[in-house]
Amino acid sequence: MKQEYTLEILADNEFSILNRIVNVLNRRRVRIKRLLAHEHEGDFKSGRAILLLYTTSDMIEKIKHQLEKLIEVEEAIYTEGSHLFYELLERSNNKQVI
Amino acid sequence: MDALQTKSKAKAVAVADEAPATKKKITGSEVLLQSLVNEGVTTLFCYPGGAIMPVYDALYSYADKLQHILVRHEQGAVHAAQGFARATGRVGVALATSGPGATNLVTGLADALIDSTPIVCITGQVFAHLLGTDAFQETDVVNTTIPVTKWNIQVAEAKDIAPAVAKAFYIAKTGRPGPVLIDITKNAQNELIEDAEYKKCESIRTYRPTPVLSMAQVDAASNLINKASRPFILAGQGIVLSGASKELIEFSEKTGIPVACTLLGLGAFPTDHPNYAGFLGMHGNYAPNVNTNECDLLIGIGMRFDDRVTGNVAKYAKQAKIIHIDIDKAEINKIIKTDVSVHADAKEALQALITKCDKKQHPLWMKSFRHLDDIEFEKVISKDIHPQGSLTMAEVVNKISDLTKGEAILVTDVGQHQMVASRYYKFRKPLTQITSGGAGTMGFALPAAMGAKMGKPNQQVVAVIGDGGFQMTVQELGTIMQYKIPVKILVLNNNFLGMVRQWQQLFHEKRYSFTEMTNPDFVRLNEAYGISAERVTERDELDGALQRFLDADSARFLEVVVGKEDNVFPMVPAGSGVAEVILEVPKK
Repeated sequence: MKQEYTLEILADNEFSILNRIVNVLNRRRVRIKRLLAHEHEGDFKSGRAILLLYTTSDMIEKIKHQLEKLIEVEEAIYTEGSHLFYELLERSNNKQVI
Repeated sequence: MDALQTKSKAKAVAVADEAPATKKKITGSEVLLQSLVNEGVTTLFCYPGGAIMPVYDALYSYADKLQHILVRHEQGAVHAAQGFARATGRVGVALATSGPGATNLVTGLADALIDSTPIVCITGQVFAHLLGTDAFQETDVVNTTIPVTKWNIQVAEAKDIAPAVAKAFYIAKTGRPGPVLIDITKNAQNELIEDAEYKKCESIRTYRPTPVLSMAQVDAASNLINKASRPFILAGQGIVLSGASKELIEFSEKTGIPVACTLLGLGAFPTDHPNYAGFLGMHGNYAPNVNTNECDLLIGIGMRFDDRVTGNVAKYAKQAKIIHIDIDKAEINKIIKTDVSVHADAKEALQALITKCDKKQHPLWMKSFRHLDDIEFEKVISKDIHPQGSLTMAEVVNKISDLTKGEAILVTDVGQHQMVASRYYKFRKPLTQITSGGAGTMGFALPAAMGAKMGKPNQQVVAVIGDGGFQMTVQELGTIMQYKIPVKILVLNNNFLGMVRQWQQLFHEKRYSFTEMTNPDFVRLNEAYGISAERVTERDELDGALQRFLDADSARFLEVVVGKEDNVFPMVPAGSGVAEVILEVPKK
């Protein structure tokens, strides 16, 4: 059964990193409902992408491992639902460290 | 012109800078070549063009350190690099220019990614200030090749070249190996920088190629193995890549477990070993397919449960517990749900399992394989290798196998001949079977065989190709001619795209829609390239022709005209379960 998942990806902010992430999702035909991505303040190296996805529990687990195969990706963590996504979005809008 | 102007400007700056500096300055192109030499590269498969010309200029002075093989098409370069890598276990290197030069590498990159082959491709790119302007021969190569590489990078400054090369080689050969591409802008190739000591890459913060073996996983696996009465090992290329053949043999002998090999796993376990259970998959042997659905424990090692191995997954080994050992975590539970997974390098996992598992034999279980082997021999093999009518692919491969004692490097293309060669060549050692597995790239074999022979000059290298695939990269005969590469080229000619025709016969009511080929005179074609060639159409000519073929010191071509509408059996029809394998054309 499909449902919403919040997926957080910690990665080095090299050129094309968002393409690499989105490619994994596109290939699996997983819908991206919302996407928030930023470089860590003053870091110029690493960053984070937070995605709100609509997919199955089986697929999100497979996607996690395929994302973690990307050389630049340090970790991909997912939680059920959209709560965390909106919480992080609000903190980002308020320019808080998230 | 651009290259010359920029280079002279860069040199002028360098002269101005030279007064206070003491260190020698070299171009980005020289940095690249020095880096390749430092990574142990000896052979490059390449094709020049505008955006890679500074590297070519530097190559002129590196002829004693780097052997440059000028291929006839960039696809030939990348497949040759793959063949080199698969024969030697070392990283293969290909070089191409920007735009079409780079996009011509894409098929080989995709092939190397799915077949876990360590290669590094270097492409020239337009000047950095022209990126994104639709400049001549500008293609966005990095974004084009993201889905077909393990990693790629664009380098726009000379100082970044050496670290990119170091990282590329580290990524290509560690963990699950794969292809890496480095795209270097022309200004970076021309730029002069201080010569510096090369530093190999030993780790990357976000990349953990070697998993730590979990003893809890090993214990769980050994518990299942010790309790099983009909255990069965499926060995994949992971065994070859991790150098674990010896451990696999020891493990199988201690536990008495039969071992079947996937297409890319052929050679991982000797075919003449009493525990060898056969070749798996759609056109594999009868016994391993049928017994996949009879075993009580299936142990996949360094393989990925490809759909050509599993058939319909809903009907795959439902009765069995599953253990999956793989270095790539994303492969575990991707296709088949496991009961126990061991995320580890195959060699390390097998060493641990050898210690933990009990000494056992399973004579009745082993006998069931031999019984099924007898059925396959009677219904398929005996007719294939001792046919009555026209020459068959199987009898040719069977004879080559006997004549070379299973010790040649066999490079196959894609289609019927590939399946026949995989079934009938009796592989005995790792790194002797080279084929395009996951991608199924027709045109792979001729350039890959060329690369394999460059990597292993003292080993007999035989390319087995169909008449269709041969014509997809036939231009590489020019490379073989120029460099006098003594590779043996066998074309099994049925004047058909045989595998597609077989499917049309079996599943499309024999509607042979555009699969018949009118072919050129292959013998004269080879002779035009200075390659000695022979055609065989009759059985009594075959033995002598094969002997001359294998004995030749130089490149040699042999065409064998085989049955036009012969089929490859056994076959697991698409959508069927592995146990529904058929041994002949079904009666209507």
